[in-house]
Amino acid sequence: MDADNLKNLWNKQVPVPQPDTELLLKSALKIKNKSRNQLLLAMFLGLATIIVIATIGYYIKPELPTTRIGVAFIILSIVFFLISSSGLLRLLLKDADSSLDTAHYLSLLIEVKEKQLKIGTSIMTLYFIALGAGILLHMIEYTRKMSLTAGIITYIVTFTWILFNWVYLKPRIVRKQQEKISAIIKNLEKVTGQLS
Amino acid sequence: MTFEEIYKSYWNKIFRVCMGYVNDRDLAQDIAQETFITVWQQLPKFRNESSIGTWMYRIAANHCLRQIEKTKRLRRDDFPAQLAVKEEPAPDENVQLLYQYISELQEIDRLIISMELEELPQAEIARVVGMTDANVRVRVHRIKEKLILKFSSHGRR
Repeated sequence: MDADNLKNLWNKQVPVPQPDTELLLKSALKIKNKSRNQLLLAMFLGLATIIVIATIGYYIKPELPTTRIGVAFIILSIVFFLISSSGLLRLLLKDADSSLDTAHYLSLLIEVKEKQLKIGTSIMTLYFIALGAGILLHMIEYTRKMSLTAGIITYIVTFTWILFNWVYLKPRIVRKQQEKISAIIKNLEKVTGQLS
Repeated sequence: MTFEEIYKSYWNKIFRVCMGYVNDRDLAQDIAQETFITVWQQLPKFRNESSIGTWMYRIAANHCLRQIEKTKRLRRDDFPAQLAVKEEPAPDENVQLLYQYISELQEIDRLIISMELEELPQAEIARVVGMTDANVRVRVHRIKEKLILKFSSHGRR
């Protein structure tokens, strides 16, 4: 076996027949539309949630402004959750230009992934802050009407739940989100190392 | 060059380079198609700063590397149906071995040797991957030695 034989063997690989240009372009549009539809669906869901909760907020006619502010925070938390879980973030961040040379492409791709990681974590933190604050503000009006004991028990239960979110749930969700992206970044860095 | 002309003259080359990288006909076909879809999208932006070949191979190489982050592939029904009918070529053991040995190399080496065997000039390969010409030359030499060694140790078995 010598280098020329390698070339001969290489060329013996029979490529799969190429699809019609028209069919290929149709599938290009299909893929493009799919991402666009995902984005539209996420936006629609976000908007629908806001309308539903705003309508509820309007009809409950609360006595205290804290109740309305609480509802607003809860709406916000739902929006944060949708952004972080729907893959919307990936669609919103500009992707690396694939016509760059591999070295540049990889370093840009790593940057994009790091940004995705950072923003993803921040949004999850904002989600938990908004949700906790929203619930606490929202309950002020109703606990005021309760007896002292019932009020204290309600606060203790709510605080315990919020604490559970912060100490257990949040780190778990964030870690799970990060694991996948961190693994990708690590692999991209490994491949970048092969270029030198 | 129009998209149709590019598509016609580069399909086999790009497919083989993808095949060199993944050693899986279905996956190579998917990556080749993703490459041409990107080419079609970006062709209006192509500024002749590099040759069309270098530009195409860059897109193909980067799409191959993109497999690192993909846990799930695009569904096959996203692609043209006529490709679902597969004609498996008569397997030549040495051809299979070559592609298998290449797929066992490190990612960048797989791309370099695939483009080298596709007879892309080494200066162009350097521009595709972003390495110096000298570096590519040395790397190609080493990879070829490695492949030949694998073949000869297989022959001795």
